[in-house]
Amino acid sequence: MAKVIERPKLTWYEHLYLPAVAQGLAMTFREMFKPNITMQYPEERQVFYDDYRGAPVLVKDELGREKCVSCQLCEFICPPKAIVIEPGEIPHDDPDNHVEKAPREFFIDMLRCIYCGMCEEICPEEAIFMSSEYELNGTNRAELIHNKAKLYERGGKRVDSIRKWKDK
Amino acid sequence: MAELLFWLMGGGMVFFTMLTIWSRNPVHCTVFMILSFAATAGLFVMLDAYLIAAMEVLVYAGAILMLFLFVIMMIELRDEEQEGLRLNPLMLVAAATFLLLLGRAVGDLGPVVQSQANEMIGSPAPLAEALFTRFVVPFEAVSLLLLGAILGVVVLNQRSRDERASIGPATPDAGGGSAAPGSGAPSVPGAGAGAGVADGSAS
Amino acid sequence: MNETVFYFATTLGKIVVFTHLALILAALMVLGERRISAVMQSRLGPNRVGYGGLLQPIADALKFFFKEDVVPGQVEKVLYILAPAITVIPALLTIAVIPFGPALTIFGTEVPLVIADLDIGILFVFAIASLGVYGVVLAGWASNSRYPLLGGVRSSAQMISYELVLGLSVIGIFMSTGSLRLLDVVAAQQDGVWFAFSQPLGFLLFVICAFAETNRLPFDTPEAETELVAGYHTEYSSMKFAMFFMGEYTAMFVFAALISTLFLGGWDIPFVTAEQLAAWGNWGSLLGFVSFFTKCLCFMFFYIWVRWTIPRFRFDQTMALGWKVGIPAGVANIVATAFILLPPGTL
Repeated sequence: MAKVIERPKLTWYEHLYLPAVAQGLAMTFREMFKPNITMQYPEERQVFYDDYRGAPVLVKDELGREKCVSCQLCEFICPPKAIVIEPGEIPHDDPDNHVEKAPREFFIDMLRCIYCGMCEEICPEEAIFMSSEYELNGTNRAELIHNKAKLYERGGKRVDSIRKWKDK
Repeated sequence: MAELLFWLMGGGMVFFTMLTIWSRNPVHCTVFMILSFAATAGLFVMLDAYLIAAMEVLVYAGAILMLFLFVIMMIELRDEEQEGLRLNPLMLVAAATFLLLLGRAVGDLGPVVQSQANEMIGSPAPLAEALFTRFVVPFEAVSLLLLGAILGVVVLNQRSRDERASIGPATPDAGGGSAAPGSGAPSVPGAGAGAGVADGSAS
Repeated sequence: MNETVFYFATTLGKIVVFTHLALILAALMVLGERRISAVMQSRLGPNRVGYGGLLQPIADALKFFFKEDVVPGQVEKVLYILAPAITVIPALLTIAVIPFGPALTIFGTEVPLVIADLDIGILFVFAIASLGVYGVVLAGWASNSRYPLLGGVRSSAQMISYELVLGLSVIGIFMSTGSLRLLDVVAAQQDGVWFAFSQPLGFLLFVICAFAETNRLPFDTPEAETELVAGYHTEYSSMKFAMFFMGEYTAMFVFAALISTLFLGGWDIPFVTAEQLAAWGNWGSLLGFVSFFTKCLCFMFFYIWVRWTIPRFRFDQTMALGWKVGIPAGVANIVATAFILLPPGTL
């Protein structure tokens, strides 16, 4: 059995509708004098908390060494397949050769990236992080495929408590 | 100058009226009819009959033909486009008779109408004076006639709706309500606006 | 100076000044609409082009000029191209009879601040304004597509209904002034009270009709973007679309000016009599012009204010308001005015 909801009976005063219209107008008029919340974008910018998931970047450790060991886990987990890594070997005479591997090239296609942060989560070396950068633009598609140099430039050094290669 | 304007307006009126008859597309017909009314209004202006001119545009070009357009757009008259003009000898006879009568009428009344028009319809006040004293009975009779016509349409429409309702599933008032202004009520503009404004100018 | 030459020169001057005034105001209205709606919604609106966004209309116009003019294949060419012009031209024509202020005195000759002082003033406005709707209706039909057609049909039905109410609502005024000339109406209000106070019902009806006739919210059913895409101008682009905009905003200005003239005293300044204004000469005329213009601007603000407050009527509600409320109320207003105007002891 359908439930029938009776429309409320209006008094003659309510039936004029004009008081209600006046009420509405008064409301919008009051609204005009409230402070507006627009942010003047290029001059003012949103401030983000540290965990904001912006563009992924690569970081170096406190001594400026590459953290990435090109294990390719991030490439494997990346849902849109935005990451492509070309693994490379660290030469024997390098002081850091105990790590053995480092990426020769590292590409993140920002046109594909969905900012899910899975690469950051899976990375065993804590080498890839989601930065707070959100303004990505370029004049052609190639510009938005970030290579290793660009990723390190954006990521810079990150000093944290993990010192995995300290004694090696 | 006045002569030139007269021929321009008069010629335009005849020209657009002929186009109204000849076009096969109903919307084009209406547009040409509007232009023809506009030319007529121009002729009235040249007679200093500003009120009549304004009424011509307001009531006929503005309201009545808008109604025509409304109806044409609602029912999508398209079949007419394909049909060519079929000549019938009776048409010629009718046209000839009409022209003859028109010629007689214009020949007889021309100067009289002109002189009366000039003093009577120049501005609203004398027109209202004439309408509400000398011509009050015919004026009211015409409005009664129009009222009867309007009511007739409403009644006829009401009956056919009742029949439809008794045959098929009952149509609620909300559905029928939108149909009613389209078919019955808009007959009012001609009578309502004309009578209403004349009322105002009389006082 | 030759009198005829002087007459032609002043008339030409008035035509140029008044039409440009209306067009510039229309352009600024578009900006005002965006800024005021923004403020009402706690936003800022366009404020980058020029000081406070004042040059935004120019940027908009340039954009419209340089946009591609797409003419869809299925349209009825001639009417499709004519329709935008048909909306703009009547709107500009009606400016001819609007009195902008008291007469100026130039070289010892009185020049009234109205382009054409017609005996039938208001009827001229109504007649020409009723033609403006053809632009909308024909645009809807000529586009040969569903949504515009619906918009056009709605527009025609709406105009037929509200033109009647519009006509009825002002009759009270002309009954009390005894003239259709707008200058006489203003003069009557300078001597007595404004008609907004002595004819409140007529004023209310006229304001409602002004919204309906200019297709403004809450009566914008012909272009209802939530149901009809963009209504009658769905198939239009570039400058043709801009002309619909121009026509609409110019018509808004015309109705604002009409309301100022008919109900808000025209150029009358409260507590200043016509004689005092005339005593100040041309400065008085300018003051009157400013007063008139201020009233227009206030009403233009009211347009925007209402637009961002009241939601759109359903189409059957629009029709019901026009036929079932507007017309009876208009007739009642006429009858009431007639009873008040009757000389005592007649009945």
